[in-house]
Amino acid sequence: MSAEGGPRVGVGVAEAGAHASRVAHHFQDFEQQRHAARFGMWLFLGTEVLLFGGLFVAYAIYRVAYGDAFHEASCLLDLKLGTTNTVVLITSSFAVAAAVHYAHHDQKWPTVVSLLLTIGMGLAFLGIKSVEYAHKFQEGALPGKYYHFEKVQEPGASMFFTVYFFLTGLHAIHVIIGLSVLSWLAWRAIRGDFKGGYDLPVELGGLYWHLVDIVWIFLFPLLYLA
Amino acid sequence: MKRYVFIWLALLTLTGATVGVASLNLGDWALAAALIIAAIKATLVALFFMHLLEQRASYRVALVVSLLFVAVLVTFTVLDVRTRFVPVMPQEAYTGVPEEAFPEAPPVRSAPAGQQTGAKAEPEAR
Amino acid sequence: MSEPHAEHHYLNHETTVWSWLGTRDHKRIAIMFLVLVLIALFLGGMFAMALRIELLTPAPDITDALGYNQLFTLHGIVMIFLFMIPAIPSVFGNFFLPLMIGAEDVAFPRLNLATVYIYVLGASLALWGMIHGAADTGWTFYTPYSTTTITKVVPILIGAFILGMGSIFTGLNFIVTIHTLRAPGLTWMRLPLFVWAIYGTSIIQVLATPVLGLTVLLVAFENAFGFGIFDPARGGDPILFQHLFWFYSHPAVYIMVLPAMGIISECVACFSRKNYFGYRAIAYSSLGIAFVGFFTWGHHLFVSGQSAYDNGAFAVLSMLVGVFTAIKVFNWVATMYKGAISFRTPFAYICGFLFFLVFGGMTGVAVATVGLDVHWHDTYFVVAHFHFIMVGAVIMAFLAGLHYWFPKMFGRMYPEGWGLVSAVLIILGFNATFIPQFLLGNMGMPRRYFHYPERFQALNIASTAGASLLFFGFLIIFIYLLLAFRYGARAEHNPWHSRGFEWRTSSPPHPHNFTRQPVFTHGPHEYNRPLEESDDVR
Repeated sequence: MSAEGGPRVGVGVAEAGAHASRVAHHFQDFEQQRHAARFGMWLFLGTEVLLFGGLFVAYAIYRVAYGDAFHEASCLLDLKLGTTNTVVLITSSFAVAAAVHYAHHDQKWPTVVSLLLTIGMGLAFLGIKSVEYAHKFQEGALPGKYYHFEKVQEPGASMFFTVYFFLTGLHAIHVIIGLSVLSWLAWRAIRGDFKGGYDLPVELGGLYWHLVDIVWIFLFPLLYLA
Repeated sequence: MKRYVFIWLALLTLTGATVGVASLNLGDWALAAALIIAAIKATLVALFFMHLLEQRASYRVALVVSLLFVAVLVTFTVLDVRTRFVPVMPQEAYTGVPEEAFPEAPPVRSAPAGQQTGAKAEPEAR
Repeated sequence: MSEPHAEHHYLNHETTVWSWLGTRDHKRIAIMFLVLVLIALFLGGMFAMALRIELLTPAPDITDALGYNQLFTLHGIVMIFLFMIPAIPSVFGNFFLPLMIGAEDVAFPRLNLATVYIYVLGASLALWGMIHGAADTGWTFYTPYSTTTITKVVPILIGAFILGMGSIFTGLNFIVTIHTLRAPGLTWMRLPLFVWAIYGTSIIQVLATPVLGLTVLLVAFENAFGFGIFDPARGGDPILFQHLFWFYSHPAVYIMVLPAMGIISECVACFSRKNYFGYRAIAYSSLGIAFVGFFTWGHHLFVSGQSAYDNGAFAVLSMLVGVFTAIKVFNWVATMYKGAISFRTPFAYICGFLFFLVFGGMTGVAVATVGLDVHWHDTYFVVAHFHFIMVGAVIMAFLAGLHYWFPKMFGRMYPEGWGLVSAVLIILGFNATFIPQFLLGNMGMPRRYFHYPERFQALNIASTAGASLLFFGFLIIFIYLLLAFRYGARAEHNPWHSRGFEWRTSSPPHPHNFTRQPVFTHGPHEYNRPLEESDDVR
């Protein structure tokens, strides 16, 4: 956010010190800009909730239509890998919360380490997920016309895997986006950008990662334990 | 920091609880139990990790409103599926029968204008 | 009023190409959007004219069945995704929202610029898809047809997804702007009604558009890979698609209509020279429409096999929209009552707007009745109904806004005589186009057919004649506005003597909107208090 304000009398009185260069010309002060950025992020998270909401609806109605098939198919997902992934993601959420905490308190290296730990766990999550996917591909538990899984032959069994792949796939895309954001944040943290109370990017990136975690918190019981 | 560790442990415990509850075979209540636990976990993440608790109310409103509208969408759609005239329900799915069982109908070239039915008719009612 | 016509303003501030393409000034972004949506309007209008020419005679004339299907699909997609949805928020919202709330810019100027390029990207992808194997599914992309058609739907679907992202960012930006950037003294109850309308619109954009994005992606996957989520042959439920699609696309009607209502609220007060009548009622009914609009989508599914209970619930809920709309109409008319009306071009469009909104709204309540809808569903009655609202009402408001704010945006006056002539042409043209379609639909002519029994021909000719009138009306407007932009008489800062907040700054506005921090001590359009020079921030 560059300060490219025009000559406007009485406006743009920024807070003194490190913040001044961070306040864009159309904001009164740093606090107002922070509020705007946070509120924007929360609205964006709201749109993400609705994006996943559409798929949750698909899950709900096919579960109503094909209850038995959904139950049988979900029992055949690997509960151990699923639970491990849940633990990994929750722990990564904890790590990113710690990163935000350290960034807020101006502790550079703890911030960097927490961010890197988060990234590591995100990668581990994707690794475990791809092991599961590979397994499904071998078994033929695939969506729609690719379905040739012999263990579940109930009507609607292929629909479980269609929904499974859409939900986990969309979630995985969000994990990948989150990882890119976190990598960028880690790089900036190493460069020493976040000091003097300027920790907003870490906070916003952290919010996004928490949302990815929250979505998984719902996906896990719906897919693995239903 | 201490607070984050506490929340993290609570989340891990609840994860264990949800797996445990699922093994109890609660039947119809299993889903409700799983969703309630998931909702508690999500609330903990939102309130403490995401600092919703101590920040402006407008952020909470943004999240709650979006959840509300997902609920609206789910409610009306599920209500529809549960009370629909049976022949309109999604029917008999593909069940591992070889691909040839569902020959790809040739796509309709220049469908008679207005007649927007698909190449594949709905299977007959059970 | 100080010296007429500002010498230094946002248009001549910088003139390089990059100063436009890379600008973060909300006013310049609005002008770029104005150019883009006018191109889209022209393109969609050309498709419409082709359709009307084809329908002149019962026999196939200029196109075959597939070509006709593609034409009405492209007409729908261009008009809805490229014109109606971005038109008023991205053009007038962008330009006037910051001016009305005394802000220097929107909250996220870079995101605002990004929406221009997102729009261009999405539009290019959709247009590319139209040239290479245009879709023939209708703009609604109903499954299972959209997943089996031989025409290429995927690029258009992805284009729609990208356009949706742009729409979300616009809405998000406006909500944050209204919450955080109001000038000192500008409380919520002093916000101009246009701002309230944009606020309601933005809420819908943010909440509904993600569901459309997801749905079009699912259809694209289904079309490309056959994952079966909506495919009845694989146990999928096509009605699920309709639920998801209309969960966005019905509220999307209010994305188009609410900002139109906002423009009308501004113009009614200004040209009646009276304070808003029922400020709170109009403001709250904007939010009411935004909220209730989410509970009505099922009325598109009455004959799709939706459950009877849902049908009943949605029929009743749909009628609630009529209540909020009626509140607005009542208050606008009451604002005019005993006002000192100056019948300028925008006021002519207000009259047209009120007629189309009331007529279209009443037929809307009629088609929301389950039993009647069975008769009218998929006939020209429905086509005429939604064109009355989406084209009649929205275009009237768009043109009213364009004329009302033309001096503000460009510092020039349009020719009043030509303005009134074309307004009359357009209002007559709309009626001549769509009233025959109501009759046709009621007689049972279904929509989306290019080949029809001869007894329908007379009314179809009337409709095509009306469309030609409309076309000439638009042509005249386009020509005189283009000339006025270059040669028009210089406008004063506030040629209408309006008390709207956007007129406090110079016309055209200063690059940074105000020369000093505006402070608000009262609401907009308060014609009962003397004009205070000290309010002006030129």
